[in-house]
Amino acid sequence: MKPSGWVIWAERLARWAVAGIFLAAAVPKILNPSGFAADISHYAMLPDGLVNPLAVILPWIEAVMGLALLSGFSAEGGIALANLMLVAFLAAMGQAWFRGLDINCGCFGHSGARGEILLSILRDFGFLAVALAALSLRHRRNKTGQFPA
Amino acid sequence: MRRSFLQMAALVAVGSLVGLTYNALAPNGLPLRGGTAARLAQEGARMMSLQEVRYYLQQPGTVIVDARSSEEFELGHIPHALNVPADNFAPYYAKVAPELQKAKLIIVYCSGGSCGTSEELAKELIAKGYSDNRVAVFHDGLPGWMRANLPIERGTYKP
Repeated sequence: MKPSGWVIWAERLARWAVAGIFLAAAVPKILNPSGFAADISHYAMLPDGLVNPLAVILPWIEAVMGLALLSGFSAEGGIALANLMLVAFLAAMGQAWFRGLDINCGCFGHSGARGEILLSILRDFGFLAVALAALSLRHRRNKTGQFPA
Repeated sequence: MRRSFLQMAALVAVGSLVGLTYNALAPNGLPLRGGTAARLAQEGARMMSLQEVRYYLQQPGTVIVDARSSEEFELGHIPHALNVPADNFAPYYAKVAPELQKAKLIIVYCSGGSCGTSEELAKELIAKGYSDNRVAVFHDGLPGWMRANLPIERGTYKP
């Protein structure tokens, strides 16, 4: 059965929206790895030795995933990875909020601003809703019609 | 399902590889080893332990600076600390600049590992021209000081 036009377009739009979010998040972190490493260390949840390597690779994983979602190449894995990453980010911010840490989320690059973690959590729930919609629509599109992943 | 996992693994592998390669070639690439101390050293500051802070505070020419807000400073700070909130740098810096300019070593601190204000302040000071070896970050901050049962002072800073 051929997937209906609205499913194809809704999936595409949701996927592109997620791609845009991750690409916008990746660029400032790639340009300022030191600031991003500082942001990660302020979460106080990783051994110090892992902070710099994570600050180096995480933005590029976001960028590569964003490009995959934008182009449609490896989109299925890209959508799944985006959902996993958003859940991981929410967990990190949730523990910071629970512990009362007055930090900047570092989601879209380094800034000196603090006290915004709760807003960042709410925003990430919105992003997760879009990513889950993309995942669901992709699944529906896969079930109703074959197309290359 | 299997295809999703393979694609996810491939995206993570490619992203990691590109990231490591870019970092190796970029002029502002991060040191992969050495954690916070290596990162601060790259920015021109050094990280200090409590023992080092206690030692240097005994030496002439050492100044300690609290990077937290004036309200937090009033509630308690390391004895003889100056207060230069990183969030409101310029006016507070102007008040203490003569003392900082005379200092051989400036140690900055805030509320410990999860606060970034001491690093922000260190960067501001380095940008003001305080040479590399003159600025140090006491990473454990006030919580580390208090855990060692060392005395704290209360009240506002009076230049």
